Amino acid sequence: MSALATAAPVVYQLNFGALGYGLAAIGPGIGIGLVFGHAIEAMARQPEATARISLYMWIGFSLTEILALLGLVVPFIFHAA
Amino acid sequence: MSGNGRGAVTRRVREPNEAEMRALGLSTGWTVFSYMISGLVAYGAIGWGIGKAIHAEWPFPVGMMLGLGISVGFVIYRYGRMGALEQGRDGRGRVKGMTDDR
Amino acid sequence: MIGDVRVVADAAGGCHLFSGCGFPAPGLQNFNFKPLFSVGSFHFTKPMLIAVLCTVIVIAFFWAAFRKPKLVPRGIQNLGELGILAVRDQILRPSLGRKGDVYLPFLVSLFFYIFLMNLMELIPVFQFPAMSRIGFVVPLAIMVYGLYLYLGFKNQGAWGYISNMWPRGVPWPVYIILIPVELLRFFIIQPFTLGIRLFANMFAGHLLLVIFTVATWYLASFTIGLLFAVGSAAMVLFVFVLELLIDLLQAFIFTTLTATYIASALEAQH
Repeated sequence: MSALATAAPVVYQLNFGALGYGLAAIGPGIGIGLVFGHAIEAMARQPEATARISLYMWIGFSLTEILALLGLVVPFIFHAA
Repeated sequence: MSGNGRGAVTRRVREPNEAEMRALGLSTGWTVFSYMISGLVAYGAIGWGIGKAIHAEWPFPVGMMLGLGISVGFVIYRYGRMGALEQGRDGRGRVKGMTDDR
Repeated sequence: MIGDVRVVADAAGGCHLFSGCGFPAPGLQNFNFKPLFSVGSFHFTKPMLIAVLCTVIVIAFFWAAFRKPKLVPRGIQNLGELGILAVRDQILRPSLGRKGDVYLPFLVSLFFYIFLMNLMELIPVFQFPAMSRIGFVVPLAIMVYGLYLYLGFKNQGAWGYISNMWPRGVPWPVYIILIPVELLRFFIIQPFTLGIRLFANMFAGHLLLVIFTVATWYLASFTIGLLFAVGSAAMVLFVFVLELLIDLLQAFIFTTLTATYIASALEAQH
């Protein structure tokens, strides 16, 4: 049991990994919304540039998503094994 | 299909219409997402297997991070060039499904 | 405990705020149903009834619309044509082109079946999206998966299909590194996300509706809770409209991705 779990008087079976991922998904959620929102606005301003804009949109999405996926990985890295 | 004078045949390529762009965008989005997930899972599994073999815990998260990096790198390579969306998977600039004789 | 019955009993028995009983929190138990009837050990439950009903409705609708098709459509044939043309022009033609019209019956059935099954979440007596039970989603995903694998192997040969889907123009060490990723993505992750997307959306939507509906009833005691019950009722309306949109969207996405996978399987060799 981790230190936090032993210190808290009333603790249910809290899975800190899942909690950590939930918190880690907040930032990328906003970030991906921003990426796609601005891309949509740009495509609306200049429809003929849609192809180029969507290229960068997918790259931006993948780089932002990586942070959320890291939230899945980190519990395993810091696993007190 | 139209022909030029020397007997060779040229194909006219038209711009994708709205529905085609929507379908392309939708499938590209989910393909990118699938690449991210499968890079993570594939190299995480490889790392876990290696960890089992050498009785250590660390290859598992290392593999996951590596897989994440590989998949992001591949997504940038595949979708980061000019006209990458309209290309077929062979990346040779063949325009898929946008020719007039479909 | 079977969720439906217990939640309704608690609510009907006057379990409101400050009544002494806690909030009957909806959860996984709301997705299990008592069987309507059983034949031996085969239990026929409400989701099965919904699935059978949707199948019958879709078949009956299109059969009635095209029994005696006229060149100038009359009556219900109008509606049927509207549905088929919508699927054809918005879903099939963008990915497959004219040659893909062979797959139109499959895609039309898929789209309307999924859409109607999702809509059952909002129709008063049924109020359950059958696609929120994974068992109803898996056969669809397997069907689509089998279809595009079969078409790909038949059209391009086993080795041709797999080698066509790998990226070209990369130096060969990178190629080797990409093999596990590509194999896993193509054979496992792609059909998995196809099914999970539909399932998760319907599961979450139903759970949202149930939570806000039960909360409205629970809060509707003659205390300050009444104020919050109004807020909860407003949320029910909002989630209702949201779910209408999501039902259509999920059916559309599933069908469009099916068309895309079929198109990539049928891609002629360069």
